[in-house]
Amino acid sequence: MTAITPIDANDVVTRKDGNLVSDMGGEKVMMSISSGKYYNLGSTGGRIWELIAEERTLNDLIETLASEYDIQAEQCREQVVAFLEHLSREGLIHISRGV
Amino acid sequence: MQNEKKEWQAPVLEVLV
Repeated sequence: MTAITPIDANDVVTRKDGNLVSDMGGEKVMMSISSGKYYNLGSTGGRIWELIAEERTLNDLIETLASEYDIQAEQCREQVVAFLEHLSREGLIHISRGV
Repeated sequence: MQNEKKEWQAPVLEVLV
């Protein structure tokens, strides 16, 4: 299994192409064309997926989410990093190491 | 006026067929 290096604040995250995405009752459901796997991103995960349509640093992503949702930035960071690491394990996002 | 913030739900990637 490929080890995932923890995501740092200045790392740049962007989603990969090749997924069919649909909104279902406020949640985003997605199929990977390459693997044929189906995913449910949920509502918050769906918003994150929208935000990483363009390159964003983890810090930028957390700031945006903390401004939109009723959540403390640190708690948000912890949960978003875990989510992004899962997306990365599934090969759904690019992570470029920041400086 | 500050906009109402949305309720946060921890993001989870659920693998589904």
